[in-house]
Formats: sequence, structure tokens, C-alpha cells
Amino acid sequence: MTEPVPLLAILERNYFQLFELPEQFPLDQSVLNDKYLHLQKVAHPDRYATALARERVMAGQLAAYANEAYHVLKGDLSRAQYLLQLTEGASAQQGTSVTEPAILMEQMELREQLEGISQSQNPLLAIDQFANDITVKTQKLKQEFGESFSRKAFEHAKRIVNQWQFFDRLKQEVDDLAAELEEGN
Amino acid sequence: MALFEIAEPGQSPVPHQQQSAVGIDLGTTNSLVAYLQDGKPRAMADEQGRELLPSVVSFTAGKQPQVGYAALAKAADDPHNTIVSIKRLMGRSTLDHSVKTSGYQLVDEDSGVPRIRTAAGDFTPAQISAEILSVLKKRAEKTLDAELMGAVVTVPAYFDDAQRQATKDAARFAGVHILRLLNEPTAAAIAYGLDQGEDGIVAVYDLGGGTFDISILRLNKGVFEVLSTAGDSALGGDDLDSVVAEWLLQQAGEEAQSVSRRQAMRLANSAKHTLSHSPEAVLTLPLGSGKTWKGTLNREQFNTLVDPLISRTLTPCRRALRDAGLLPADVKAIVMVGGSTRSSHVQTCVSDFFGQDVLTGVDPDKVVAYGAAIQAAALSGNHAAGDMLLLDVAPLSLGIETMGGLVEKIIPRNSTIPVARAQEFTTYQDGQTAMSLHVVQGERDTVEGCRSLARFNLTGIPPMVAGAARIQVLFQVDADGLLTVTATEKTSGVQAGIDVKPSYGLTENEIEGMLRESIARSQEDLEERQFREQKVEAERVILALDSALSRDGTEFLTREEQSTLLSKRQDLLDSLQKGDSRTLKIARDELEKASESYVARRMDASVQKMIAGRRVDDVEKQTNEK
Repeated sequence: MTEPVPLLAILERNYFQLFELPEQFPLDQSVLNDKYLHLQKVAHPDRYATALARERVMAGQLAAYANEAYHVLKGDLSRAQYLLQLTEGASAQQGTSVTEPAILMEQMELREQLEGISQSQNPLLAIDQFANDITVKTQKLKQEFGESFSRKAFEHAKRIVNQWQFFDRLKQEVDDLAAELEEGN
Repeated sequence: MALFEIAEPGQSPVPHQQQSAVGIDLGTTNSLVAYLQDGKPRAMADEQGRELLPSVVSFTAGKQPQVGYAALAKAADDPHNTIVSIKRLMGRSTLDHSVKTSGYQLVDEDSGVPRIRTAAGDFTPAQISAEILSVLKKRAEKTLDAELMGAVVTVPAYFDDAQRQATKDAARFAGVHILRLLNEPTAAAIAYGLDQGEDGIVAVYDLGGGTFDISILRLNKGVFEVLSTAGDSALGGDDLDSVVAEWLLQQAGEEAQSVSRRQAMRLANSAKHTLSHSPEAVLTLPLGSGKTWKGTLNREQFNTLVDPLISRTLTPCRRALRDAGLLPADVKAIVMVGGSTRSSHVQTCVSDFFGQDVLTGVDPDKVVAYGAAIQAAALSGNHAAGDMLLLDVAPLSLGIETMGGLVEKIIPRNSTIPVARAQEFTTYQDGQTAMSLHVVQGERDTVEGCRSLARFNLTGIPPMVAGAARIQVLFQVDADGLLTVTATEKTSGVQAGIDVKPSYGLTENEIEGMLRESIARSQEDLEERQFREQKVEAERVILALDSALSRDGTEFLTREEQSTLLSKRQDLLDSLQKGDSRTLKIARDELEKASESYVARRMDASVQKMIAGRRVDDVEKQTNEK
């Protein structure tokens, strides 16, 4: 087995610090893209094909870290989750919040609705409509999260993220079903 | 004083070293090696001026294996000892369909890796591929008149970890240092310079001798992503020849009964080539009785004959587009690969399907090797394209088996590589000191639906009560798409031992043994070869260190550190004269170790410089200077 290589100091930065971006929810995707590509230009192991072996290993760690950071910051939900994780680390707030009954009811109803789609008269039309509704709701949650996070209302922000996660999973299921229905056509 | 020596590369005591890197297309039917000469990719030829090397290896008891045309000539008379299309068996298990139906005599062993019985012994697919690579390596060293520093070797985009690993093993047996495994469609796109162009979707249509592959790539800000691949592993250019040969024999009538199928195939193949540049091919078929049959085949007749086969390639094209969620019109460029795509009918059919012209400017037999050569030059810093950055993605999801035969994905398909993901596990019993992880590759939710990659046995976990241990397992996929796994118990910081049992790969011990065998077979001296390989490595390290020191040695190192590093460097130079591979390796390791913190400091600094909001063209300038 290869012996451990000392970590680069740069790996101790969090994902925002790595790209020198402000630790906030709003993000200019094109700035992130640029920073990421610049970083890969010095970090990618391909740059070190003829370098010292140690240099190549470190570059690999750095490139993997940059890929992970980029991936997490790029997605709205994953960026929101990561921001909460950073604040939790600072203020040691732990535990998941309980979902309110009204929200739980809504979630169960949506799931029931999704299950009924295949039996509906025009499943493809129905699923498009359903997907649209979810997108609208997700957009609303995204905005709400941004507002509460900037107000430092972290508990509220956390509850929003929980709902958002539900819609994210639901969207995945909707996409899978849509692909299935299209295939069957 | 010593630093002066470094600042003047001309005075370096290291003998002048050619940074010789090549691109290798290790194909199912033919292989090819290419390099960059004056900025242009060129294929290397053998002594007879032939560039393609048939991927055929023939074994004879007590003799050196033959590779290429000489081996191909034996295929008919000695099929059991003449191995064709070995690529189909790379990284496959004895239970795989492609292995069982290969027609070769297989040796049953405990290992999941098939061994083919030949007159010269039993060989794994990696060993047989190594024979092909050895010939290409020799050809490259002769052409360049230099020791080969490294090679970019191409693999199909859909190759899984075991198949990529087998390719790497083959290179190791042949003594070829792999700079990078590159996806074949990506290589073809590079050969057309598409990586330098605008973002968009690229389709790579690859009609090889015996296989058809279609890949849909997306170029997005320097990232080449494989969106989908599809194909037909039993359809290729040989099938085109085959239908033409049948037509020929039919035309020649009863008198042609004495004509061998092989003869007819050869004639069909040459007719196919003629028709790619002229409207008509004149055919002469010698019949047994001293008579000859003469006929003509025009383009229209040819097109009618092969049309059903070409149509069959469009089904995978449709599937690949559907998998990528795209329409034919979304594609920005179509790259043609494989000799059969010279046929104007193939080009027309594919153009019609995508609704636009296909790219044909680069020789379709060489386009993959050319792309590999360009990438090899870029990696070895020999080319203006040194600025090129290719970001690849993992072709398949990696996961681990959980309760009830289900799979938990750790690294999803299409993650940009290199990638590292950590997962925490705990123990189920008091005092448990070992645990086992089963890693699989594939997209399905169940273990049966995926391909088993390896079983990792973690040992040396400090005994604790059940659930107290926190074992962090780190899954890393490198830039070649290969997985490594490491594990640490977090509460104690103990690094767990890992014993890897690849499901369809060779263990480190088996590789060592085969390495020795292959060297013995080539009648090389083991120590001599190891020294030669170590020497190339040592020279590379000194060059890399010198270039680093001359740029920023005084910036990042104290005077004392400088002299330590320089004395280790001198030790390595001294060992180069001693001719002992082990001493050389130790000296190189020492130098690598001594340079560790220097390397870390300069990388930290260059990254900080890079991301501190600098403008794009400044960044461009700096990387070009590298």
C-alpha cells in the first residue's frame, strides 16, 4: 500500500473558500464555472504526467476535492444543504426537525397523485402537468430558503430544506416514470 | 554553485533525454502506434512500411510468439494457437458469454481470469495483449531512436474497471508506462480538434472490423463527457466483406466451388476499398482449373448488398440518442472511425440519419491513434496543446452490496474524475476486528444486476464494542477510471489493512509472476529490464525536479532544504551509474520523499494564485509557460 501523503493546506478550505466565493446561497454559476476550470488547470493529474510522483498524488487529491466542491456548489439543493452543514458546525445545532402534520399530509397526497398517473386517461399529459407543479413548488422553496438563510433563520431554513429534499426525490421519481411511459408509447 | 548547475539545463549530467510519448490504439482487429511530429500526428510503420498491426498473436512451442501479419497468416491452419480479437476477452470472467464462445481452449482455474491454452503455454488475455503492445513499443523506440517514456492507450468508453485494469496490466507486462487511458471516442474527437472548438454534442460512429460502437459525447467548457454509448458487438466491416464475398461466389457460379472463402473475402475487401474512390471495381477470381472469372461490381450494386447491414447500425444510434435524451438535430459534429466508414454509402446513410454532413477529413483507421498521440504529447509537455484539459467522467456507477443483495451507490455514473467519496461503516459485534466489502459496478439496484468488481477485506480494526468503531472507507477513482479503496478507523486513527480480491482481475502476486514470465519469454534479462525502466523513471524525476527548482526553488525552500534536496538528487545521479535497479529505486524514493513538502508548498501557492480572481488570459499565459 502507498504511504500517506501529507495534505495540501488548500484542502483545509471549505468549498466556498476553495473557489474564493462568498459563503451565501445566491451564486453566479458562470463565476463558479470559471473558477472551477481555472483550478482544474493547475490541479488535474494530467498536468503532472511527467512530474514527481508525490506531485501527481497531491494533484489527484486536489482535483477530486475540486470536483466534489464544484458538484456540491453547483446544485441548488446541495449548496443549501452544505451551507446549513457549515453553520451547524459553527453553532453545534444538531438533530432533524419534525415535519409539520400539514406538510406531511401534502406530501402523502402528492405521492398518491403520482401513483394514479399511469391509470389516468392521458398519462403523458398528466405527468407533464405534475412535473410542472413540482418545479413551481421547488422554485418557491428555493426562494424561501435564500431569504431565511440570509436572515440567519437557520431553523426555518432547515425545515425548508427538508421539504425541498422531498420534492427533489419526487422529481426523480416523476422523471423515471416519464421515461417509462415514453418507452411504452 | 549547485543551483547554477540546475539553471543551465545544457550542463545537466543527465544524458539528453527525448521526452518520447506515443499514442496507442489497441484495437480488436488492428492496432496502431502514432506520435506527434512537427505538431502533426503520424502513424509509425514497420520495416515493410505497414502501419496497421493486425491484433493477432500466434504461439508455437519453444518459440517467440508471432504478432501481426505473420500471425494472421497462421489463423486458418492453426486456429487454437492463433489468438484473434483478444480485446473481447479483456477483463472478462471465465463465465462470460464472450469467453465461453471464443472457441479457444480455456484452462479452468480458481481465478476468475480465463487462461487460454496454447502450444507455448497458458496465457491470460492481458498477457496476450502485452505481446501486441511489445511489438508497438519496439516499433516506437526504433522510429524515435529513444527509450519510450510513456504512452496514452485508448479503450472503449464503455470499458468497466476490470477491462481498464486488464489493459493496464498488459502495458505493465510489455514495459509500457501508461500516461493515461483515453476513451476511444474522445480520442477521435481530439484528432479532429473538437476539444478546441465550441461547446456542443459530438457523435462518434465507429464501425470497426468486428464491432460497431456509437458514442454520444458532450463538450462543455473543456469537459468531454460520455453521455451514452451503444453498439453491436457482432457487426463490423468484416460483415460487409462477407456479403460481397457471397455475392461473388454466386456470380462466379459452380466453377467457383474450389475457391476458398478466404480468397473470396480478400477480393471482396479490395473491391470495397476500390469502390470508396471509384464508381466501379473490376474483379478477377482465379478458379481452380487454371481458368479465371472476371466481373465487375459497381457502387449501386455494392450499396444494395450492404444496405441491410448499415441500417442495422442505425438502431444503436437511435438508442444512444434516446439514452442521452437527445434528437439527431442536437448533434453538432459526427466523427467517423474505422476503415469501413470510407464507403460513401455508409457516409450517406449516417449523414441522412443525423441530417448533416459527417466529418471525414482524418483517416478513419488512424483517427483514434492520432487523438491518443496528441494527448500523449500534451501530457508529456511536448506540444502547444499542453494547455488542453480533458475532464473525463466515470462510465459506470460504483456501489457496495448492502443487506438483502441491494446496491448502495457510492460514486454515481458520470461523476467527473478523479473523484473521492468517503463512507462510514461500523461493526456489528463486540470485538469485531475485520469486515468485508463487496464493490460492484453498474446501474441496477441489485447485486445480480451489476458486475462484481472486487471484495475488500478490512483487517486490523481495533476491537471495540459493537457499533463503536467508525470505519471510514475512501473510494477513489483516478483519472484513468480505476478504483482504489483505503480504510481508516476514525476513533483510533488506525489504518485498516485491505486485502483486494478482484472478481475478474489479477492479484498483485499473479501480476508479479506473469511479469517475470513475460520477461523470460522475451529472453530479456530481468535485472536489465528493471534497471532500464527504473532509469527512465529516475531521469524523469530529475528533469521534473530541475525544472521546478529552476523556477521557484529559492522561493519555497530554505538554504538548508535546498542543500538536502540537492544531495539526494546527487545520490540518485550516482545510482544511475551503478547499474542496480534496487539501489536506483531506493534513491528515487528518497528524493521523492525529500521533495514532499516543497511540492506541497508550490502546489498550494500555484492554486492560490490561480483562484485569486485572476483573469482568464493571465491564467492561460501561466499554463503555457509550464
